[in-house]
Amino acid sequence: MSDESHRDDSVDALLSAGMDDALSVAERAELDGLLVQDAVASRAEAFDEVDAALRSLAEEPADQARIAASLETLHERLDWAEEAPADAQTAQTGWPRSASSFGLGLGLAAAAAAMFFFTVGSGDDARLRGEEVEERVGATASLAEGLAYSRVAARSEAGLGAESQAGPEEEAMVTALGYVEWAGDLSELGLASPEDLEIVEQLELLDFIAAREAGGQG
Amino acid sequence: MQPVDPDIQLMLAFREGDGDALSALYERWAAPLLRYLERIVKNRATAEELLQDTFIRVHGARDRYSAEARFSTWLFRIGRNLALNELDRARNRSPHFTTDAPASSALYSSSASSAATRKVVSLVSPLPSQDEEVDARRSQSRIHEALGELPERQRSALWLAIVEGYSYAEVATVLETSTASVKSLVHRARAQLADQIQAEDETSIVPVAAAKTRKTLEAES
Repeated sequence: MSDESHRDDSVDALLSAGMDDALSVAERAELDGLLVQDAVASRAEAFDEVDAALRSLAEEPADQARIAASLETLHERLDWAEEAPADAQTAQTGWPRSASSFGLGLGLAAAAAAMFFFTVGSGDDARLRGEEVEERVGATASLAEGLAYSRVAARSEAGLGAESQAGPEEEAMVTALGYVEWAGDLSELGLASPEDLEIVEQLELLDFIAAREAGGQG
Repeated sequence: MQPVDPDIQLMLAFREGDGDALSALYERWAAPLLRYLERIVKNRATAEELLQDTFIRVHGARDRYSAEARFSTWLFRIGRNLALNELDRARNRSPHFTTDAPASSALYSSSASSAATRKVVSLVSPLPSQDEEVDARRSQSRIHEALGELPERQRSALWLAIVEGYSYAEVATVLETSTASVKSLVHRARAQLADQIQAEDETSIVPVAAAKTRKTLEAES
């Protein structure tokens, strides 16, 4: 079979549609006429071989034990979701809301802590090691506490008083994370935007939180 | 009277509060959906997560479900959209990531390398009783690799039409496109895979012929 006949697009289109019973009567007649040619018949065999090989990929038996385990996990996830009000976040992240909110809180707190210690800190001595950050942030119960802790600690490490004014970078970051400081307390403005969540993801903190949760449950 | 689609019956039962119906739907569709998702994301673990995410979406959307189309086209459309979102996230995390790269997961590379080994063995010492199996595995391996190199839309269209047996209209529902577009996607995908198979057949004629000659000689001796 020549290269030209390999790539005769109109013949390929007829053959393909013919195999899927998607030809008009006129097209079917045209195809039948073409199939007497060796090149077209050979191409039809190649198409048949493609279809047979594709179907054989699906013939591998499914791992029923694995599917059963997966179904069990699905039910666990659905049970978690029903314990807390379902919302779009659950479906989007695949995490139950309770775990998602907890993870989001810790994630933002950890992100805040990490950003403070690696941007505000004045030198290696002033920076906490990653494990120490994780330990201290992990000890906080909420995002607000985590952020408050990191703000105070960062100012202290930077040689500023706890009551000193926050710098513009610090304020911008806290605002970006969806919080505002009001009378010394942190208040939630609303959910962080997808872009902010993307930052947290990129910092791979969600993996860290998931690992922590897994460890905490085990 | 048309027979009632059992999936639709199960989904309607689930909508009415029968939790076992969702499990039944999962048991019916987990394997084919997982296979399809694996073709998109090329990673077994990610596909399994997406499978669960898909059913969580089904769970969340049960009150809005209407039995206007096949349940499975709705299910596959949700799954595909989640998979494409996952690929977008992966691409954002890693700018050099490409959705249309050859399969690279451990699952695939291991099967590909073992298939390659089998291919070599088949040329060196083809036991007559294994010929058909070897040919089938070789064909499976090369179609698997070639499929992974197709653009996602072509790959999805071909998979759904050939393996799942969907009509062009049903594939169009899953891919959210027109029937004419599906017809074109399937034809181009088939043609590209056929090109690769024919090209490989032509380049492997000499070693296969040599192996067959050797086998004939061994049988005669």
